[in-house]
Amino acid sequence: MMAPMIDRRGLMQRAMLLLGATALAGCDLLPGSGAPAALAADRLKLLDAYADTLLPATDTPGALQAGVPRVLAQMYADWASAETREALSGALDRLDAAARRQTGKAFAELAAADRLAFLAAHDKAALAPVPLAPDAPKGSLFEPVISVADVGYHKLKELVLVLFYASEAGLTSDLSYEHVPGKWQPSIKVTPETRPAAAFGIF
Amino acid sequence: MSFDAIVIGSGMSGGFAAKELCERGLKVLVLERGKKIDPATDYTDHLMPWEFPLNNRVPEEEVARDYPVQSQCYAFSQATKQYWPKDSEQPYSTPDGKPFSWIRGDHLGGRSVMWGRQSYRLSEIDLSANARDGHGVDWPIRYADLAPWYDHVETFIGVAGSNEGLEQLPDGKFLPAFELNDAEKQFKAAVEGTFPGRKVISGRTANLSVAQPQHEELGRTSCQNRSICERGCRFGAMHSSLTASLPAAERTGNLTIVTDAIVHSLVHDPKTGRITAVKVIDAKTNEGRTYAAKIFFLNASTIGTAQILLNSASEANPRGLANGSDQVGRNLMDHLYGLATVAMFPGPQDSYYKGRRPTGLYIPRFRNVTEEADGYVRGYGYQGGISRAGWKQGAMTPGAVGADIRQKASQLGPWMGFIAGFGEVLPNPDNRVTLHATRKDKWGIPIPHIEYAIGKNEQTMIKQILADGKAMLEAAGGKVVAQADAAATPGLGIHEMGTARMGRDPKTSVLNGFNQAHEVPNLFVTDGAAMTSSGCQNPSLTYMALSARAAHHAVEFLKSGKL
Repeated sequence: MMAPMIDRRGLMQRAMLLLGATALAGCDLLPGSGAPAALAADRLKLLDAYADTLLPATDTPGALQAGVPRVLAQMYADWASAETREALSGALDRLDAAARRQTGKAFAELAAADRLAFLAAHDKAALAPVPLAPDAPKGSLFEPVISVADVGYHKLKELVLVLFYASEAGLTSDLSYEHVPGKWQPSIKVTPETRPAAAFGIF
Repeated sequence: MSFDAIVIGSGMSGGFAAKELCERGLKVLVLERGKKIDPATDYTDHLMPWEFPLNNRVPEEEVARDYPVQSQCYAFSQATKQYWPKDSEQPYSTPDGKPFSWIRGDHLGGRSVMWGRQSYRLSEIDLSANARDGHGVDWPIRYADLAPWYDHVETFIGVAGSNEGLEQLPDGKFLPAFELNDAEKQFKAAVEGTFPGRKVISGRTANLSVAQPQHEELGRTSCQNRSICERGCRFGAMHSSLTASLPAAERTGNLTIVTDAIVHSLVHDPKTGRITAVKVIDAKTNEGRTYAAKIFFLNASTIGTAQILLNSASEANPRGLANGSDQVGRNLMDHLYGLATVAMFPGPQDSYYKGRRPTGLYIPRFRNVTEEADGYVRGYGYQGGISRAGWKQGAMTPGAVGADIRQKASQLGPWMGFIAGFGEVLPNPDNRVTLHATRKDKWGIPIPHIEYAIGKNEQTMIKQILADGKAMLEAAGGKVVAQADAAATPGLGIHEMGTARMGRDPKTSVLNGFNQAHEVPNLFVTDGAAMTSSGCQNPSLTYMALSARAAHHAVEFLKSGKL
């Protein structure tokens, strides 16, 4: 069965690459204080636990081993606007607060199985769609307004996933990536060994 | 130092004009307002996805401060940041409520380094459109005038594509096409079967599917199917000024390039009616300089070209140079863009593809060609593609966490397709570039003021672009999941053109049939500004054909003493 939720933005990014013009404006970004801010130690620990739970090691390295929290922390300091920093740290704080409220323990202190169970429920609630008010801006096909229960969490999860699937570990385990494919082969037979090919440009 | 010819601008059209002039023995100076870029040291196409410390993103506050417009271009990233001007340093203005996104390059080679590479000929239908329906003025040339120059350009740059025998999209000198994948072939069969007269073809693209000797001579090799073309290609496998036109010009020994040279104006001698020199401001030192030559090619890009002509006003030319017609700056056009329809597609589950082909599929225009249109003139084509969705849709599903995400991510996703219309816009004299009355840039040059809006013909066309897009995807079994409801902000087609149009009458046009200014015989304009109508085809190929043709005639005129 086809998954009901469509990666509209990702698809459109690639669509626009092909089209040879537009897409993702930075116009919703507000200039912030400009002062780099680092993730505090307790949030770093929480981020490690979150990344490790979201994308655990299997027979290949997971997000923690791939260094995703380290890269995310660097992006928090050097890439994120004040608004994005607040969204990311807010999402982490809400995750931890919910864990403490519901389990009596910090998220990072939970046993692995409990963490996974808690995160599944938290993730489901945080990403629950929220209908937009009729007069609220909807964005465009290319940049739809994300309307879920915890928009900051949506940003956090997406960033962890994107960083994992841009890491060498992620790209050579679940996916396949060749920087210089050489030939274009328009039709190959799918086998049990076939892995989706990551693409950072067109197709 | 004196030159035979000065070419202002080193991008798609300027690079090609320089090559043609140099190959005909002229000593040529190319002036580029942006910085020097050297593919050997500056291209970023070797960097692996994980080698960008910030996931190949530009810091958000820097984007908001310095690149609010340029970042709207899909190709903007940390890997390409070096190419774009800072909007904060090189401003332009638009009226409130009428945005126009002007996407520019700020480097040697201009947008030929980041371009989308789609390459289509205009047809007789396009070149006779204004005469037929009365919009704008008649083109002073027809397809037969351009055809040999299209041959010439395609052979040099290398265009992969298929010959289809279509009246509205002439065949050309093509390298082997990048083949459609199995889902796209299924889509092609369904569309062509359901809608006789419509065609689904491989997108014609300026990438070397198979490099030929004339490409290899310049150090260019076949396409490696990486699809990171916008970073610049070290293989030289896509056409750009930096790896093809300028090296070809350079090997003649006749080329001089000066970068960081912002053209302020052209110096006109009212006694002879000729241009004698170009006034330049050094971008770094603000120092003023003058360069003299016999002929001048203006290839500063559509808006930049209008700005230079308008800023060259003098006592003899109070309205700007070559502007007796008052058409300089007017008739700005940019293709309707972003009119995409997205569908889940029932493609073959046991089929995949390998490599990242640098193009997709193309649906040539059919409205007002083989099928009537619903209340508008001209038409549109579609670009698109069908590919297998990646990990994101599964992973972002509420509740998806843990090893399950990774297991799903390792499975091929469903086929997803999109097609997006590119619509022709009519020339409208009120869509206009002027000089701002008071604001100047940091070099003291009045900034461009861009006033632009689409009209009724375009609004009507948009409805049918979307309806046809949906109908074709559905006819092939697709389930539409998303569709644009309006065209993207004007300018984002990055096909701006028309501000110094060609025409037969000096009273209503700026350039004659040789791209020569009616009023200034030694001035040629061969960038998008020259376009009398827009067609719906991606225009770079036509700019290059016009450049080669004009260079040929300019040199003939020069040799015969006419200039």
